[in-house]
Amino acid sequence: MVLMAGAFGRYKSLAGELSLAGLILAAFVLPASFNAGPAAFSGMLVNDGLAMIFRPILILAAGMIILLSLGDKNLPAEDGPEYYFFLLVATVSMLLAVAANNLMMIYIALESISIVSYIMAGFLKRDVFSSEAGVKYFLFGALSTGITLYGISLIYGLFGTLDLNLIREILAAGEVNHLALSVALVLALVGFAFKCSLVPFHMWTPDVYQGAPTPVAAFFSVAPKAVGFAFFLRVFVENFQGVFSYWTPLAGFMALLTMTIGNIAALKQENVKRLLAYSTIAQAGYIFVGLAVGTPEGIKATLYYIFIYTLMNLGAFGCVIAVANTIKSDRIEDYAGLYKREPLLAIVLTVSLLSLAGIPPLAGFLAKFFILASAVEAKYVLLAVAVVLNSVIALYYYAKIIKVMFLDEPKPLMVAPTDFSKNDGSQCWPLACRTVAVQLVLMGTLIANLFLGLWPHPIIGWLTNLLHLG
Amino acid sequence: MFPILSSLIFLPVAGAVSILFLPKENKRLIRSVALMVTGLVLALTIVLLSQFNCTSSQLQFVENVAWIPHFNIWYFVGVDGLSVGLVFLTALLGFIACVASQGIEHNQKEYYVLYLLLMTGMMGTFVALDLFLFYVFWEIVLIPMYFLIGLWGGPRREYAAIKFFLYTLAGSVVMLVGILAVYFNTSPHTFNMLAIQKAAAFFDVRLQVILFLAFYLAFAIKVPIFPFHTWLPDAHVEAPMPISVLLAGVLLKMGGYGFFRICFPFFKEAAHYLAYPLAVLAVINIVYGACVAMAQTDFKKMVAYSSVSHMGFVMLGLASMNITGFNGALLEMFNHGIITGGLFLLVGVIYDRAHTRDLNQFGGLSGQMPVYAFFLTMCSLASLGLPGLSGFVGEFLSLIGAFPVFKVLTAISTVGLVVTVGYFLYSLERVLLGGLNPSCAKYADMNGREILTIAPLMALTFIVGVYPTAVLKFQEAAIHAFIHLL
Repeated sequence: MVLMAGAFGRYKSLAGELSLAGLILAAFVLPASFNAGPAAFSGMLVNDGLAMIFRPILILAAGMIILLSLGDKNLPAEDGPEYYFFLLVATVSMLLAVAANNLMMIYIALESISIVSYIMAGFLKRDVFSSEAGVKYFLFGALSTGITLYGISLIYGLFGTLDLNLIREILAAGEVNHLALSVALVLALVGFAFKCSLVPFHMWTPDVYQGAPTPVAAFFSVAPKAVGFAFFLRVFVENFQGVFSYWTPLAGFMALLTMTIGNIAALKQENVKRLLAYSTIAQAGYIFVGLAVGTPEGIKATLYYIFIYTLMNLGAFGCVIAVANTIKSDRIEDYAGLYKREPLLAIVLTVSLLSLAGIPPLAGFLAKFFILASAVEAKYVLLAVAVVLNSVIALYYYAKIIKVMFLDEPKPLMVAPTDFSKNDGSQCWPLACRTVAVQLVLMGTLIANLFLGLWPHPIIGWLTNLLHLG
Repeated sequence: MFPILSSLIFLPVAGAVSILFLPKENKRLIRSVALMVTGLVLALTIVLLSQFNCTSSQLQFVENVAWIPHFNIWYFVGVDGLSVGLVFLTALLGFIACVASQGIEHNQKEYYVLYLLLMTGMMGTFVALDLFLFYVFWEIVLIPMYFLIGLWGGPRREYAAIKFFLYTLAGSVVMLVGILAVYFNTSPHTFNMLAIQKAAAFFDVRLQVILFLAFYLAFAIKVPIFPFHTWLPDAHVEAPMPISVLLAGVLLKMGGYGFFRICFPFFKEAAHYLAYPLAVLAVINIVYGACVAMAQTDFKKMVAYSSVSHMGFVMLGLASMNITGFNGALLEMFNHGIITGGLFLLVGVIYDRAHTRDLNQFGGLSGQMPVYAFFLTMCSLASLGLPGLSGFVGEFLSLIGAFPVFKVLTAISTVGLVVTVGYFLYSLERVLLGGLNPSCAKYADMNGREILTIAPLMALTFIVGVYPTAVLKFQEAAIHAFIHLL
């Protein structure tokens, strides 16, 4: 793991291509880290199944984001090095975060991810919306992580330690005030829920996603969310599920609210990024169902969903970037007739959206199916019914975009397709390569969406193996 | 053994993929690939029929391969007497509607790709014997259908397409929860329909009723049963003609088939318990559908509502839960597919010429288009249940089956029959009889291709009407076994 951090550090002042190389290097080092010791820094970090599952997901997500950023023509080129630096710092923090086994470490990781995120959200210096996004994100984020810190301090007061292993031993011995612990946990939950944009801590999401540069929004929609869920898994499901008797009702209720509010709010959106923001809220609700259930099947379903969600959501955001590259617009009505202009792009977006909606035989269906199965198995049938009814609502707005792309006549463009040959001077990548970068991501997600829906074995096998490791 | 069922399912996929790689401009080639694939599917189905053992109630041509072992999901397909007729119907209408797709003028490539994917979904639904696989095929049908209606449909196509999509999805996701509940209530957990049939008999009645209703919702929307029918007139009217043929001919049967394959054999006690409400809804379907059809001025909408009415007979036969009723219901599904498919073809023929479907815009066509008049009359008579044509046999068997069980309801449902005769004769009068409407003076009679599409359907109507055993013999053994189950 130290090695991985080094791999990033070395390239920090260079541009995107090098960060990509660093990530690829890290990906190659990844298998070696499986054999590394079980723990590092006197138990601050552990190298367990959970960490091993999240690391590849995060590296994959970061790699795809870099490709998307390379291909996004609306990102200011002159600030490239800083941008990729922040992206990599965030990634390193996340890689540490998923391995953290000490509440202090978890808090530090959470905070460092947040700080970098605030900067990235406000990265478009000259754009009012982007600055607003940064400030909004900062204000909400600071408050919620503050509350989490308060909760963690209460936990310290109860146990006299923040090491989750020691806490587990003390819990096993009994003699902990359950009510006080519950209060502390609910407070600690706030910061995590904020990262996952669970209702009622979701308010920032649409504004930030809309304002932030699209690759950054894509990044926020997958990576910090995955980390948030990793925290939930590690803290709540692994350690406190036994003593925190309100977990399932509380989490179930939050999941229910999250998906319902996310979906209903998405219905009326007219900006693709805003719509996708609400859709990610709803998706977080589905994922949270698996956590609320908390059984081994539920955990596996959650992890599977997070993996697939990363692919399909990045596919959707990738298309938004590709579209914005040509028409400089995020409004849904400007997607009219996209199929006639760029058929392949329209098809990839359709597949991503249908996969998000959970239509077979795409990967998103199986992911949702596993979540549902875990809920029904644990006899939370109402939760399962809520998920499926929400899927119907969700289909409406996903289908709305599809409808616009395929059925509506293309309108004359407000902005003529930009001539990129002029703006590209400062970039070392030629235009073709940058388009290829986006296309690579899009093709990757397309194939994954189709293939993993029919043949999920590689992922299931991988998850099962690592979960058995402990 | 040659995997004939898998070929039926995956040939269209292969065709769709190969069309994807054909150049867009080469319309003839694209069309001939689609025709070849659907033709091949039809030929394979005929081979399947010839090798099908009618005396056995067992599943035949079974293929069983593990798919997702983690969840005990199998690729398990097979046919028996309940499904073989519908497989044939799918292949036949699939081919005929493909021939009739000549009129599709823009985006042929996309049209045929989606069309072939639709074939896969329909075929798969009828042969899947693993609940999960069944669900996947069931849903696969939705996406191509959404686009086929939405892209090539009439003026209100977007509304109709999304309404169809949301309505059916709402039903099927509830079914998905039902499927999972069935899975987790069997031990060892399984999606295998045969294993579930045995295991589900031991579910307590309350659970059975809940699960029955969960599946019922999905199937009732598809059939469609009153009050879940409102998507149907919109979808039918807006869909392009070949898609209307498949929608009425095959998609509605998926719902009816679901009752045969899943609802009744899985949840027997619930079926007995719920038979009366089912019959009541069936009679509402019959009478209400017929009355609404009577009021229509749009030819296509009239045929759409006649479907609602006819599918009521299927449900009535099912609810009566005896051999005659089941035979009638299954046969009526087959017949309705043939006859209504034919009617939609004929509506399409006149629409091609007149660009309107308003019944009041026609008149006196019998002199102008004698061949058309012949086919339309035959088709309408078959649909209204004239003895000697196939529609009569299915409805008659359903009514005979239902009468001993629900005397009053059956009596009421005959009102629907009378109204049916009324609206078909009324529509014939408006289209064919009377003085020639001057605006129709230039309409040419049916051309060779149009006759080719309708003639096989008419021939089948005759054969089944005179000699119903031709179809009944395929299903009888299975129906007997089915009754024993209950």
